[in-house]
Amino acid sequence: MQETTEQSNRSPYVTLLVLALIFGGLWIWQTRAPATSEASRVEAAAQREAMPQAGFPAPDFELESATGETVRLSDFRGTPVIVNFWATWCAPCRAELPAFQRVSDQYGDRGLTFLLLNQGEDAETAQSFLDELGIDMTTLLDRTGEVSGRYRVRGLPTTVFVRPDGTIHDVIVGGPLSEAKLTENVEILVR
Amino acid sequence: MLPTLNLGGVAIQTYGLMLLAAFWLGLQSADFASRRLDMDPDDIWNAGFAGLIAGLLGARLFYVIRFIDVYAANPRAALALNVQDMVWWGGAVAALVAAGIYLASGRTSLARAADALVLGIAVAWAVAGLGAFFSGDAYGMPTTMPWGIDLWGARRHPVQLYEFVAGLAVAGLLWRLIPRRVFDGWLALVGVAALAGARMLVEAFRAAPATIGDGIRIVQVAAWVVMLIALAVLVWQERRPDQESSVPLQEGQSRV
Repeated sequence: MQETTEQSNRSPYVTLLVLALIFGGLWIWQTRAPATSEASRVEAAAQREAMPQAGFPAPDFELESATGETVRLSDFRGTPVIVNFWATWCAPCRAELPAFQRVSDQYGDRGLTFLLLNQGEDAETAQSFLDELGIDMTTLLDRTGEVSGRYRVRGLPTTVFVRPDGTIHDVIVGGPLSEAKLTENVEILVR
Repeated sequence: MLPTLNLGGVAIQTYGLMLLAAFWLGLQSADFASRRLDMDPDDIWNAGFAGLIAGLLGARLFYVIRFIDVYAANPRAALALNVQDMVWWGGAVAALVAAGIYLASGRTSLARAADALVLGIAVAWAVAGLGAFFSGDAYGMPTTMPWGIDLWGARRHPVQLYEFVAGLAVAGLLWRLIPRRVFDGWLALVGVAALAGARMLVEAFRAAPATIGDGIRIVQVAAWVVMLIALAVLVWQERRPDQESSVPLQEGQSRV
């Protein structure tokens, strides 16, 4: 009996288990993310700077639409927005547009807006392409690529999901996006 | 930050590439470990690929079930080659089940295979961390430490590199512990405890974590629980009356 007790006292696993229980719990408590900590205040300050990354405010932009109006992203504050970077020569962009239209029709009454940012093409080329596909959404002309540069777009299509508070929920590079993936993200935006 | 590689007009996402590299390097590391454990490395590779295929199919199946209305209208979309349309936890479960069934149906001890695979998991975690570093995902909290990196508008903890270092450190530790195995499955338990402990430590520096209660990080709690369970099983194994001794096994020797 005494031998068994000594053996258990010597067990490194029991010691490790007790240490892990105590110091693990303390570590988790000490490193929690309270809103009042210095790190969180610095983090909050960093979050105020717009970045093309989930969790940050979406960089604002102002562009001319294919129908000649001036549109700003910040005009849509308070409603969910999907910003899509595309071009007519981009096959995956073309493939995903019908799903965009279906989701737009389904969630339009809940304030969802699609902004299609055409890259480097003229209004007629972009609009006739969309008309041919039966796409009825706001088309903006990023002629110089200035907005795509601000969003660090490295490939088409790129889709940015913006929450009603103006922060980015997700950025998806590549496509075509499926209707299911769109629905999954939109459900979060309109929640 | 290098989120994409532009090759011949095609933008390839480095994070995806690094995840593929993590899978391959993880299996290769498990292959090396299996040789020291007197196993047939082919069993590791076959189990790995069975897990990969089952994981991809399972992840898609769970996704289709989740969005059954959308896929009912367009069933062909369920076969689309699109890695975004996945439920990853469903894939992980399917992969584990498939790899487990494959190993259990063969001549290899499941526990000993787990000893080899845990080393691969440590290496895969390290490489995946490097992938997140390139893509800028899973970034760290702001810091004033000199090794901080400028990312997303602030100097931040390079938490992805912490993962890389921690994964390699755990892999190195497990490699050195192979000759000290006490029973088949011992290295797996030690590895799981070490990986979970490392994740619990590293997660403290992650920005924008999912939290519960008073800012408690959910991933840390999950890792803590996993670590405690692994250590508790080690204690239980040590105290089993049929446990012959705590003398380390020779390389390739078996004691379950």
